[in-house]
Amino acid sequence: MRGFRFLAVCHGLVLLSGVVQAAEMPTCTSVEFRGDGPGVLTPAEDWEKILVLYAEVKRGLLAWLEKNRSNFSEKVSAFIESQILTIKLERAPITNNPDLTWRGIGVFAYDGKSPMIRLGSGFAYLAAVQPERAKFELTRLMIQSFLPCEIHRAMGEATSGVGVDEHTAQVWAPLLKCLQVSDSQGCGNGSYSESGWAISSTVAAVVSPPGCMLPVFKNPELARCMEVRR
Amino acid sequence: MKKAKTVDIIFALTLASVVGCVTAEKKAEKVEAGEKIPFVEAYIEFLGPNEKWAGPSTYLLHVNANESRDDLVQIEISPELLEFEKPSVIEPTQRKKEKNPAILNRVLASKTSEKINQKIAQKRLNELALAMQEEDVSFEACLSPLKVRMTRVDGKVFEKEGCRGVDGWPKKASELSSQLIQEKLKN
Repeated sequence: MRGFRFLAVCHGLVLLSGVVQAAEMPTCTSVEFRGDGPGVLTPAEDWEKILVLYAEVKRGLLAWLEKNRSNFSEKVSAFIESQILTIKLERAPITNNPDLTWRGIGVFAYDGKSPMIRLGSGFAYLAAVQPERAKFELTRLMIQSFLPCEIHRAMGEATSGVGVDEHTAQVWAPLLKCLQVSDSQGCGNGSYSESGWAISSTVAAVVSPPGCMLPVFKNPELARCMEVRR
Repeated sequence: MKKAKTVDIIFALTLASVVGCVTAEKKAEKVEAGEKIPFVEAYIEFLGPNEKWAGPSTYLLHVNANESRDDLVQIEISPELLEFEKPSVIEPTQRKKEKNPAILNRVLASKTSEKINQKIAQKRLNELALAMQEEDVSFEACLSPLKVRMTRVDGKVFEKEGCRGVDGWPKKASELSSQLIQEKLKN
């Protein structure tokens, strides 16, 4: 049971801090369960379990923000805090994205101006049998509410770097460079975001470790993005 | 067998994408909104992220309502939904007890309960195509992209990319997908 303490420092941003058993850690794979379709409400008992995870994730993200608040401008950290505090969960069955009632983890969306996670019907099964992984997935979805382009979109910052204000871009730039991720389209209309997956997955792994190693960190070259201390 | 079918669908989509590079440029003049020629085939692709992030996997729905011999609608889903089986620790009957139709969108509920024959499938495809043609839905830095490629009975093609979670035609694509999945599961 040899333990490694991972501490990744990215422009002062504490990304990973915790003891993991690297040797025994399985590789994370895509996981999702089939839902019950559009006619079935997530049972109250299952929903309560999800709400417990949701509260834990909020606390975890707020704690992460406190550790890293100094890295963000006051305006941006206030926005991130607001997103964490106000983001809502939509209980299955999802009427706006009914394909989620059959499969899928969930999607980040807006309900008017309020950030929202639309959970797939199969998420309750994931929470029942793999709560650690479910918590990771929920965390990853909630982080999508304050990704750089969300900050850009919500706050109307001048476009530069990856499409957000320069300060926020600089916070994430070392991590994205190390992971060899770049979004050529920035935050433009009709763009897709690989950096969004990189940031949300990495921070989610810190806040809510999934109990497995993301495939990206199995790559020795990319694993060097993290400084390893025994 | 299932794997071969999956490969076939992926190959077909890849081929369709390659062809699309040529035809997409001409789509504005080839497929006009409001034309009465029906759409008979669609590929709806929900794209997952790169495998290295271990996110939700890509899945693809293919519907073909152009079989002239009978009234059947061909629906293929890749990967098959059965690959996402429910864990056995939860009794399905326990979950079925708690239905709450009151919270459901009534239109959606009525659409999902109907049997999808060729005529209905073509009507749904035309509704989606019209929405795709008329709505200019904006999105940025999308993490859950959606691609739809539709073919008319005369072979002309229309395609568009969007983002899940965004209102407008992506919602209609999601509704159609849900109906097709339900229909597939009936058979």
